[in-house]
Amino acid sequence: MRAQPRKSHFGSRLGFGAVLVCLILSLLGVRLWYLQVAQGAYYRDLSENNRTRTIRTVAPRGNIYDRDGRILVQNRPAFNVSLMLEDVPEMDKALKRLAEITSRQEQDLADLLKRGGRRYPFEPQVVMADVSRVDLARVKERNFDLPGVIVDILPARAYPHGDLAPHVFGYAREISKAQLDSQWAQNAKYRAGDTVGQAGIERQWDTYLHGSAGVRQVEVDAMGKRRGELGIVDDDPGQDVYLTLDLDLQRAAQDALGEEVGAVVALEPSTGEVLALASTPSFDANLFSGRIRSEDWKRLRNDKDHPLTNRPIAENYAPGSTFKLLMAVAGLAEHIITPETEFDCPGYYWFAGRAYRCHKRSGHGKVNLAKAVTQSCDSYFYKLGRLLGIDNIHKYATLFGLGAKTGIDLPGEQSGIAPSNEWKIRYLGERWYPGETLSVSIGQGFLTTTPIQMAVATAALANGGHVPTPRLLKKVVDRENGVVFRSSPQLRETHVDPKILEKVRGYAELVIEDQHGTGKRAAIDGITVAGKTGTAQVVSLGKETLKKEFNDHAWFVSFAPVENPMIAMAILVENGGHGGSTAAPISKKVMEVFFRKKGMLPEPESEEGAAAEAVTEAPAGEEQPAPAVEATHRSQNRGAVG
Amino acid sequence: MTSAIRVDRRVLSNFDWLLTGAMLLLCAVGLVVLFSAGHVRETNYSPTMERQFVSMSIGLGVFVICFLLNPTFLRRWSFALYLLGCVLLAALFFKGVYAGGARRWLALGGFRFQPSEFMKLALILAMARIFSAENAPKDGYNMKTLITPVLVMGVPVALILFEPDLGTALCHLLIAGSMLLLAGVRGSTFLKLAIAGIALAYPAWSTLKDYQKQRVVSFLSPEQDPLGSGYHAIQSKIAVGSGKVFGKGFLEGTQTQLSFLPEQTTDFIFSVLAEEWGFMGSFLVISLFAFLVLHSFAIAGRCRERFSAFVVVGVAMMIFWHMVVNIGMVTGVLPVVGLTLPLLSYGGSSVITFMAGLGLVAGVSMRRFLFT
Repeated sequence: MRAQPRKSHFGSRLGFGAVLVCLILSLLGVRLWYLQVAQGAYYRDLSENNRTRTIRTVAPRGNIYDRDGRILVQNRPAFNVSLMLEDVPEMDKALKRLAEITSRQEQDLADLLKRGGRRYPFEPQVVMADVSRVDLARVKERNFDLPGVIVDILPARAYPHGDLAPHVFGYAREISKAQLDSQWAQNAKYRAGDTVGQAGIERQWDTYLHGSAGVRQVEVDAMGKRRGELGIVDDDPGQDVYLTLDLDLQRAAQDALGEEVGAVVALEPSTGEVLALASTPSFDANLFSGRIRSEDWKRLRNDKDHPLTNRPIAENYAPGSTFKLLMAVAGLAEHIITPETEFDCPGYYWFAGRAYRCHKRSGHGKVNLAKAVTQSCDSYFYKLGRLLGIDNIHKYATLFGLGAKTGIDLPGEQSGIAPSNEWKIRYLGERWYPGETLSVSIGQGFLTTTPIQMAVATAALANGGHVPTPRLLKKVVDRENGVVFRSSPQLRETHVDPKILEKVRGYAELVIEDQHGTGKRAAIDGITVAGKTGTAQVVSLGKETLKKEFNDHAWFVSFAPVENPMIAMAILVENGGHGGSTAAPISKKVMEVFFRKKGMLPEPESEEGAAAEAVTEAPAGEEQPAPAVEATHRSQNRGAVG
Repeated sequence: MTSAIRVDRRVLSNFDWLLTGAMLLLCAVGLVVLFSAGHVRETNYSPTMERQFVSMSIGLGVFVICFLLNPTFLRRWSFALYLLGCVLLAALFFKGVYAGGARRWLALGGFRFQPSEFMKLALILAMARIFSAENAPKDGYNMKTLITPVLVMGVPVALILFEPDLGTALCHLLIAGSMLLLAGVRGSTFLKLAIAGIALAYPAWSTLKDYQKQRVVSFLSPEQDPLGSGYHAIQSKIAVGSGKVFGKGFLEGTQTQLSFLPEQTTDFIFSVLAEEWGFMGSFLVISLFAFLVLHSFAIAGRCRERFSAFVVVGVAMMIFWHMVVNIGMVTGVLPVVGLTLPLLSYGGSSVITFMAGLGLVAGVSMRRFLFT
C-alpha cells in the first residue's frame, strides 16, 4: 500500500531498533551475570543472614543454698515487654500508651529503648524490664491496640528471705560495657547482654552459678516470625552453690542486731566456715533483681547508715579492748610477763610526761593478767605494750590475721591496719613514737580491723592457734553430675605455745563468768562461753556525747564451748556504746540458737520467758571509755579507748 | 463493508507456531514461578497460580480472536477504541476503585480491570493508524507534523498520570515514543525536543509526589534506609543474586518462601524466578522475550502493510519496555516503578493485554503473504 522507498527507510530504522533492543537486553544479561554469577556467593550469604537468626538462650543461674540445703537464692520468671520496631506504627504513641496503662514512666521506656544499641531488623527491643504481674496483665489485656508489643520470659533472681544476708549474696545484673572489656569477662567468655554476678557470692562464684548460654538458630520470615529451628545448642543451667551459712544463725544474727547499725560474724573455729555474716542496716535483695528502680537506688545510696556496705568485711574499725586478748598472748609468748606478773593501776599510766588514763578513773589497784583481761584494765596493757614494743605487737597481730585480708570468698574485703615502725615510715613518712604504742595496746590508734578479722583471730585463739581462712562456699552441685567441688579447710599455724592460748582462753572465760567480768551478758546457762568486750571511741570529745552518731562503737568477740569451741564470733555495733551492754547480748542470742540446734540447749518454753530473762540480766561490769589523749597525734574519728 | 474476521485455510496454514510456542512457554514458566511465589506451605497449594491459569485461559481466547481480526477492520476502528480507552480512563475519576492512594481499577460487574492496560493496545492502534495515514510526512516528522501524534499520545498519558500511576504513564510514553522514532523524526526536531525535555526535567520533578521522589532517591542509594523505601530494592537484589547459577530449586527460595520479597507475585516475580532457577532460569526467560521482540521486528520488517507493521512494532515495544523496566527494577539498575513482567506477573488485565497484543502480532505474521 505504501511506496517502496519509504519502506526501506522504515526497514533501516527497524534494523537500528533491533540492534538497540539487543544492546539493552545484553546489558540486562550482564547485570544478571554480575548479580547471580560474579556476586552470587555474596548474595547467597546475605539471604542466609536474612533468614537465620542466632538467639542466645539465657541459662538460669544456679541456686544458692545454706549449709543444710535450704534455699537462699533461686530463680523466678521475669517478664520483659519488648517492641518489634518494624510493627510499631508510631513509636511516640506506643511508648505513651504503654506508660499510660502501666506504672512505668514514658521517659524510662525511651531510655531503655535507646540503651539497646545495635540490633537486627525485626529483633525485639526491651522497653520494660521485669514488669509486675499487674502491668503484665494490663499489657496483655490491651494487646489488640498495642501493635508490635511482645512479652517474653527470662529467668531473674528471687530472694525468698527478703532482707536476709543481701550483702553475702550480692546481686547479678547485665554485664556492663567496661566489664565486657575486662580480662575477667574474656576468660569467662561473657558476651554483651549476659547476666553476671556483680557483688557478693554472685560475683565470687559466678563461674559456677553462671552456667552457659544456649544458642538457637532459627529461621525467620520477613516479619521476624519464627518459622522453624535450624539448630539448637541447649543452655547449660548454672551449678548450685551450697554455702557454709546457717539460715537460722544468719536470721538470729540479723534479728539480734535489730535496728542497730553493725556487723555479726560467726565462724566454725576448726574449719573457718562462716555460719553467719550479718550487716545492718540490711535491705531487700529483691530490689536488685531485674532492674533496680532509681528511687530505691537513690534511697540506698543516700542513706547515712550506708546499708549497701558489707560491714563485716568492708569496714575498718578500731578493735578496742577486744585486742587485749592478743596482747595477752603476745606478752606471754614473748616472756615479757607471766600470769602472775602484777602491775599497779592508779587509774592512769604515766608516760613521757603525760597521763594515759584507764577507763576506771579510781584505778584497779594491783592487777595481774587475769584481772587485767577480765576487767579490761587499760593501765596494765599500756605498760605491757611499752614492754613489748610496737614491732612485737605487730608480729602477733599479723600472726593472728590482722592487717591483711582474711581471704574470705567475697569481693570487697578490707585489710585493716596492723601498724609497725616500718609501716609508719612507709605510709606516713615518719618514725614510730613510743606514745603511739600505748594506744595500739588497747586496740586504738593506728590499729584498725574488720569484724571478720576479729572473728578469725578469735577462732584461732579458740582452736589452739590455727588461723582459718574464712569461707562461705561449702560445695558446688551440678544438676547432672552431682557434687563437683567441695571446699576444704585452710588453716595457717601460728606456732604459739598451745598452753599460752589455753591460759588466755581461761581469762576470756572469766570475762563472762567472773562477777567483775565485762561480758556477763553473753553468758548462757549450761554452756561455757568465753569472750572479750571492747568499746572504741568515735570522736575524742570526752565522756559527754550528745548525739548517737558520736557514741562509741561496741565490740564483742566470743567463742563457746570453751573446752571444745564450736563457734567463734565477732560483733560490732556502731555507736552502740559499751561492748558489754550492747554487743554481748547479741552473742548470747546467736549462740543460743546455735547450741539449741546442736541439741546442747533445751528449746525455750515460751517467748515471754526468754525475753524476761534477757531483761532481768544485771548490767555487766562498767567499762568507761577513757578520754583519748593521744588522739591529737592524728585527727581521726576513731580514737582511743578501753 | 469489511467483515471483522477474515481468514481462509491458506492463511491459517501460515500460522506462526514459533511465536505462539514462545508465548505459551513463557506462560508455562509464569505458572511454575507463580506456584512458588503464591505457595501456601500449609496446604501445598497456590491460589494465585490457579487464578492466573484462569486469566491465561481467557487470554488464550482473546489471543485467538485477535489473530483472526481483519487488519482493515482494526484500522477502521482504531480511533474508536482509542476514544473508548480515554473515556474509561476518565471514568476512573468518578467510578475508580480507590486503593493504595490511586484510582487505577474500574469495577465492571464482578470483575475489576485496569483501563490503562486496555489503553496500551488502543494507543498502539491509534499511533499505528496515524503513522500509516496517507498524509503522514514522507521524510520524518517535524515540529508541526508532530502535534497530532503527540496529542494522541499525551491525552492518555496525562489521564494515567493523574490516577496517579507514574510507572504506567511512563510505559505509555515509552511505547508510543519508540513507535514514533521508528516512524521517523527529523534529526533537527529530535534535537530540539531533547533540549526541551532536559529543560523541563526540573519542573516535572517538583510536581512528583513525595513517595515517587522517594522511590527515585532510594533507587539512587537504597542502603541509606534499608528498612524504608530501599527495602524492596535490597531484598530483590539479594533474592536475584542468591540464586547463583542454578538457583536454590523449586519452592526452595528463602527470600520468596519467607516473604522477604515484596510484591512477589506481581512486580517482583522475576526475583522469584531468579532465586529459585538461578542465572539459567533468568537467562532462558530473557532469551524468550528477546525472541518475541526480535521475531516481531522481523514480522514488521516483512509486512507490506504499514498499519499492521506499526501494530506489531508497538506490541513488541510494549513487551520490550515492560520487560526492561521490570527486570531493571528487580536487579536494582532502575527505580522501583510498578510495571509488570509480561506473562509472568500475576494479574488478569496484564496477562490478557499481552496475549491480545501477541494475538495481533500472530495475525499479522499469518497474513504476511497477503497483499503481495
